[in-house]
Amino acid sequence: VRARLALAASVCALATWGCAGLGLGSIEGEVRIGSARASAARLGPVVVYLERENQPEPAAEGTLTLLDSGGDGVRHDLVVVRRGEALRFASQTGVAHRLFAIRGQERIDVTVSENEQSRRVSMDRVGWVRFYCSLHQDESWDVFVAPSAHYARVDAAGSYRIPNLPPGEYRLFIWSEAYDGAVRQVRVGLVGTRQEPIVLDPAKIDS
Amino acid sequence: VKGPRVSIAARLVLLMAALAAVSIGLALSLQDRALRRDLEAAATARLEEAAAGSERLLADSLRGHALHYAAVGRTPELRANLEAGHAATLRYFAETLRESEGAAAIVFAGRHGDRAAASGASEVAAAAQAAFDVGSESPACVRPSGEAGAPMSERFVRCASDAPEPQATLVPARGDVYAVARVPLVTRGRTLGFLLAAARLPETTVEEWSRLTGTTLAFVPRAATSAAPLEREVVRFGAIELRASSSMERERAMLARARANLVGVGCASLVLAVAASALLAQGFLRPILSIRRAAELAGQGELTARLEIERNDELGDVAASFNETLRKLHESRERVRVAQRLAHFADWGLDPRTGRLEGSPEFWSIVDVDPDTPTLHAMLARVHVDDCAALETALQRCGEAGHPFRLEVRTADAPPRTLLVQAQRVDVDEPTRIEASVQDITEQRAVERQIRYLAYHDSLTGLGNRRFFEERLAVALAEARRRDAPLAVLFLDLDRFKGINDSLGHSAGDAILQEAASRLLAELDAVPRVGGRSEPAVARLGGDEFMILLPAPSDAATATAVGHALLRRLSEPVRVDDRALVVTGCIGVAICPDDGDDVEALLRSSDTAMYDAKSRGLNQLQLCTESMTSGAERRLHVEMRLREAIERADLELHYQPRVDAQTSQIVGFEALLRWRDPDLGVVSPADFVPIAEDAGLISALGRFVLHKAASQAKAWRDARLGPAVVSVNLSPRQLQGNFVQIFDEVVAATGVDPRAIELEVTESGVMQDAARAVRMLQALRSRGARIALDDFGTGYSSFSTLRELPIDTFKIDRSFVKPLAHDRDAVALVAALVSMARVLRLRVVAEGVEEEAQQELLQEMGCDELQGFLFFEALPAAQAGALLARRARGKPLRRRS
Repeated sequence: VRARLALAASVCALATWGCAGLGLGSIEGEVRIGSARASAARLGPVVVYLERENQPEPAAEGTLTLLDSGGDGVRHDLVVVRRGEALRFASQTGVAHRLFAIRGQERIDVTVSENEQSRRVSMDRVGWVRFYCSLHQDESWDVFVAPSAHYARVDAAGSYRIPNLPPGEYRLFIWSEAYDGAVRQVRVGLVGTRQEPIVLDPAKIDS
Repeated sequence: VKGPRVSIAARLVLLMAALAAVSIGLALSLQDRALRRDLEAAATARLEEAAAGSERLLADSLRGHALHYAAVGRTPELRANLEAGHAATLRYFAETLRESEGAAAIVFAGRHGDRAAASGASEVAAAAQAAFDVGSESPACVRPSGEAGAPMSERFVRCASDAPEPQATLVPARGDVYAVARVPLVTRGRTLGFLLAAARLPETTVEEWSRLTGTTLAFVPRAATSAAPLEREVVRFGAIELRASSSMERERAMLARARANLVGVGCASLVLAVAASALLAQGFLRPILSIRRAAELAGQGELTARLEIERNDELGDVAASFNETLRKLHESRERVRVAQRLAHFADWGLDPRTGRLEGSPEFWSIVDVDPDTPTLHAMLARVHVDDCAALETALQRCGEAGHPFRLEVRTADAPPRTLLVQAQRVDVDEPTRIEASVQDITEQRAVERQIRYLAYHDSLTGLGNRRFFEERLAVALAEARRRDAPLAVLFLDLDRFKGINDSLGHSAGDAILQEAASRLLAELDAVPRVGGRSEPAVARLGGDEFMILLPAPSDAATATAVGHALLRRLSEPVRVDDRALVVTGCIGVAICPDDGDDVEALLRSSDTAMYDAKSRGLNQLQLCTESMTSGAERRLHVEMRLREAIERADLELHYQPRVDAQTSQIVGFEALLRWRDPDLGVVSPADFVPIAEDAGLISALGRFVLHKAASQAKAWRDARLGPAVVSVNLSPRQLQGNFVQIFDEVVAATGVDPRAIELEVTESGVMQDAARAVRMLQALRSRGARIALDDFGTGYSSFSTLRELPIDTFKIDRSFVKPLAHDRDAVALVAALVSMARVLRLRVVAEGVEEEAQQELLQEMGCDELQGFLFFEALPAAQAGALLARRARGKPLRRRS
């Protein structure tokens, strides 16, 4: 009886473990500047994301509406969207905005009338975009366009976690205003969470 | 050495002016220095304030420049294009901005200073960009936000390339100065890059700052000359600096005006000081001049002048003191004047060169010279012609050789007065003077002559006195020795002159003495001057005694002849009070050298001879003999030894008992003085008592005897040997003295009962001055002493006098007792005496009882006591005491065998 009971328990356990992790891994880690713990806060908003090697992710669809939150001098938090998603700016404060952004040779102008929404702006290029308002000198909107859904924002403690990763080879990137670039190659298995700490060279931090 | 005369007023004015000038000059100098220092300090302070103001203006200007471009830098387009690195757009913006703002250059730079775009002068742009790229030597700049940097001053810090805020500074370029602002372009706290804007600083701006600050401001190269005293570096900007400078022109102008004002005030003060000092001197000098005038008057002898200065200050005190001094001087001078007038004394002075005299008022009166002709010549004219030369010579020697002198001169008056002149030279001042005094001593000399006359003469008769005679005798003796010739001294004593005095009165006696003197002088004038003999001299020694000196050569014959002539002349009748009296005298003559060769010996010899003559009767003359001389010498020797014996108490008393006539018991003693001298042997009282009386020793001798007898009586009574009475004999001279006092002192000293003492007086002694003797005896009797009358019946006393005498006993003299045994008349006489004593209730003591027949008769007559060798002789005190002791023990006394 005891043998039968032990075998039954083992089977149940294996079944449970197999069902739970089949085909979805994750990575997590801590971002540090040098060896200093919790030092990533100096970088401001930080985004960690993965790109699959030689296997671009399909563009996402959808529109994200961003609402103004005040008058002059409003600085909006960083917004992360997937490549392919569109943005729409809305005036909920009754104040008009005339936003613009310069991205390479491309210039984006968006007008937001009072209590209206702007036109839809598609975000097709991965990277960071900053919208200024020519009416409000201190108003700006920061948007980061991630290549896929495999990204995460580093919390105040400098930790991040990117779950639900299909197994495969990835390149690990990190972005902030002070540091932008690839980190390393990362292999994600069928199951499990890999620890991928990110240690930045202080000399490369653009302060 | 006296300098030129400068009045006190001038000195005071000069002194005040000098003091004022020095004070004003010193005040002006100090004020000028202080003013200059204050002005320099003010200029420096003004420059400091101007520098601070300039710094503030410059800082505000730069701050405005920075703030202006900071506002520009907030333009989102600029930041977005800079962030995106669009150089062309940025260049466009720079060009537009430079033109619109009038800037000299606009530069956009990246975060690390790399130039993104620029517009304008490249040199200016490069200088503007380089101004913020230097290290510690970066220039000063202004940060409008006021954040802390490396502060250079209150408003400036050093430029920094990494400053996250706008900065502004000045840079030189192309010969101009440019204000450069460097503005960071920031989004979300992140510096994207920088905007640099350079604008030329117009010269008008600096001029305006100079005007506002009141100084001269200029940008100068940093390597320029160092700052002058009135220059300050405001701010340094790299190779240039803003320097503020100021000039002292305005302060110098103020100083010059102040100096002019001070000099004016000083001059005015000096004038006022001189005027005030002149007024002060005037008020100060007026009383001084008054004092000087008063002093001059005082110097001229006017001491009655007084100052009339009513001031309540030191000058008033001086005036009061001066007046008081004048008053005292006046009083003193008046006192001196009165004193000189009373003393006939005066002071005077002589100028030997001019012969001019000065003198006190009394001087002119004494010398009888007119004060209007005060010359020595006038004075000498008033001097006796015999003394004039002496006075003139003395004055001349005093003036020339300084010999002081004292000279008596006579005046030319009739009779002349005597003046005492004393003078000495005074060399204190030039020329020398002779200070002198003169005193009219005419009266003084007259008095002296009178005194001298009285000292040597008898005022009653006008003859010389003893001193006169002794001096004349001494002179005559010297002459006699020189001539080896004798001289004679005659001692004349008038006979019974005392009786004349007593009976006719002293005025009659004086008249007789004057007549006698006159006769002696007249007779002596008639004595021939033989052998060059000097004039005889006559003197009255006192009483009725005269001395006559016959100078050498005068032998005994001459003296005898002259003496007899004098006696004859004296014996002529004299009329006194209408009575014709015949006065005689006795003369003793002593010849030198036979009777003595000195004054004392001759006087003594003549005295002895005179007494010898007296003993011969009236109107006798006796030459001194050798026996007289020896007797006198013995008498003198006895006197000397007696004096020594009294002093040494070498005398002793013997006591002769007195016995009761009926019982033959001792009832008393008579104290008898015994003197045994080592040289003279036993001397009888009959010999030495008269000598003691003449020598004035009787009082001391009497005290000795009384004290000795009283002590013995006291001793016997203390020994209870019976109430024996001791009788003591008194000399008639003792009755004339203070015997009562002596008696009291002896009784007090010995403690004897006065009743144990009996004092024996002689009838003749009492009768010399009966009234005085009666008073003395009454006094003695009142003290308890008993009085016995000795030698009764030998004198001339009357019974009435005897009745009045306070006596208790009378003693019958031995001369009456001695013949009793063989003379019936003597028996009757003694019986009468005893009866008389009975009538008078007196005790009777018979002396000199030597025979039993005498004893029996006296017992029958009723005598109370007997005394004599029949019973006892005089015994020493011890034997007398032994007799008393035997009587006290009841043993029979042993009579003299």
